Amino acid sequence: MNVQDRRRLLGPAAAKPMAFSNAIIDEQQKKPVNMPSKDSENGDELSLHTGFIENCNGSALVEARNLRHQTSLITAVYGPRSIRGSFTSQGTISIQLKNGLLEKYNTNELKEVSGFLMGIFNSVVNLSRYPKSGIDIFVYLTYDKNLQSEAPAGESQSKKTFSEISYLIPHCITSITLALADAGIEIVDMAGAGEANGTVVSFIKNGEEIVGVWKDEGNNEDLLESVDDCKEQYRRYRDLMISCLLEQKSLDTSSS
Amino acid sequence: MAENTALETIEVHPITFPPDVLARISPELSLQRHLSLGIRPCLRRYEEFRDITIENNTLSRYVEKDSVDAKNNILGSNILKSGKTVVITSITGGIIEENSASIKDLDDFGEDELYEVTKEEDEIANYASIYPVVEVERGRVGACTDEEMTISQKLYDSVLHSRILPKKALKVKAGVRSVNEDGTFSVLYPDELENDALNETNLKMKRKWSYVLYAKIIVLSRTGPVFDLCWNSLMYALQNVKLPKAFIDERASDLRMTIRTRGRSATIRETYEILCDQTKSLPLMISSQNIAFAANYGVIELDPESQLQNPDNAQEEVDIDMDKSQCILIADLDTEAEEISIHSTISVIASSAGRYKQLTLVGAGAKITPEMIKRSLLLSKVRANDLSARVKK
Repeated sequence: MNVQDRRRLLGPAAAKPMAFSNAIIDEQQKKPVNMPSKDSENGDELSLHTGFIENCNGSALVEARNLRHQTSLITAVYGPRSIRGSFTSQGTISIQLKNGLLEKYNTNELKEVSGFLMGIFNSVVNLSRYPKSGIDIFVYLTYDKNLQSEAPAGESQSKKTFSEISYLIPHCITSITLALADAGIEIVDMAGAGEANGTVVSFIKNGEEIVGVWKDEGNNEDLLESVDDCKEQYRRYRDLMISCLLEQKSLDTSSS
Repeated sequence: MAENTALETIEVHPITFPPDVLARISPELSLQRHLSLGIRPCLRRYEEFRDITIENNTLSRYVEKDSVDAKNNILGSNILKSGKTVVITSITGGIIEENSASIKDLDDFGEDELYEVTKEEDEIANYASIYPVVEVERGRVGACTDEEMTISQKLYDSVLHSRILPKKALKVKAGVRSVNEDGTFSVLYPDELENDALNETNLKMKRKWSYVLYAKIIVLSRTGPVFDLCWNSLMYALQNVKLPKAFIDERASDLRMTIRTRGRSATIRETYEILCDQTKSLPLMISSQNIAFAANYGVIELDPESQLQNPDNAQEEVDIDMDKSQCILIADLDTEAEEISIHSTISVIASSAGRYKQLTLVGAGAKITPEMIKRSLLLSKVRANDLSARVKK
């Protein structure tokens, strides 16, 4: 708690955040509760929505759930809006990742990811169409739950050699792409990504072009195999995105 | 016109705009035109509230009945959707050690002044509040806005003075963790023991703790004033807060040591960790009769000049009295047009049983009449009745 911040009501300085005792959870409680019924590791259940936030130009909600994680992300795109200062021939993109409710990831980690995402979307968004303007993208990690923590301790230790945040990145990319499409901002192609073994590879143009690679420590040997896995996931996510946007479009036309 | 005809004939065409363009150019006029038809730009009637949908406790650690989410520290949550606006409230907690002086400097926000005010009847000192941080998302980074600060402070004050959270409910009934002979740990809680004798000997602790509650309120898609949405969401979230049981280690339960500094001896009491139980929890005992819900109202003068003519009697030139203005009461303000053109507002926090917790009147424009205050109090009670019925579902 930052006691210097006098603009917010942060409570008494002497109070300590609740510390929970190290899990002395009974063995029988460790059995997976309410697990998704898919048996394949990559069997994500995805739910996509667009355009539900009023005071921004485009928004998207991505909810994903598989054996390992349950995640919900909200993305809001503000822009293109004019920037102050001297003329720029290209638009600029800024991406902010925000820790929503669970303060799970530290700021450095989130900054690193938003830097990576900025790299991707600088090449995906047709920036020369937006001179002297800025596009601000906010991603809120509303909910993120690690379902694997309920697995036996020894196993999860060996599997969790890479950071959990790499799992989130493909969904961030999906939701930003959807929100950009919802905002009507011109993009080169629908960007998407997949994750395998702590490696995230982002593609456009039906997997012909790679726009970003994220590598966490993990299994380094079969990188090419990971790329293929990622490509497969990218195709699935992209098809879902397209059908979501088409559905939204047909809804809009029927209502108006 | 006479000079103009001498030079050149100028034809003046009245410009017409489609309704959505007019709403952007002149929100006031658009609002007045709508009101003259008996509806508002959002197509609600004058005294119609937005419906809400709520989801309770879906984000908290106690979301599943038979297991807890160990990494989650949210004790209670609520998601409230009203119109287009979404409010996400999550309540987290902390623990503070109470010492004899702490009652006075526990709450640092104007607590001294409060003590002056309530010296005679020290009733309010028995109640605590929650520390809210409101974030209204509007696509900007940086310091919090005035609105966020004002709403946070108002929420804090209103919870305190509504007497919803008794300090008694926030007391930690700390248990003691002891190591058994076989090396396993077991925790004894004072409220779980039936044997009074055991209770006396084992759990006599001089130290006292109490819980501190924090609320994080995120407002997405703000379309109008949001204080009452934040308040209602906070009320729902508070009602499903569960406080984890807390314990300390046996050997630390009454530890003191004497040290000597510069020839003087002083007793230092060791500060130690108080830990919360992973699984066991108790519901927060709020005074439920004081749970109240907020509603806001605006008062606006109907401008006779911008009335739309009724096409049926347009020919017979209805003689509208231009001097006599009529004021109307509008419930649950929303949309930019209403927010910028309605300056006189009434804000009420009321419980379903008709206990009124707060009434704020801002008269900056149209005149607020006693009838309107009466009407808004009545509507608030009906609204609170409706909103409080949602919890049981």
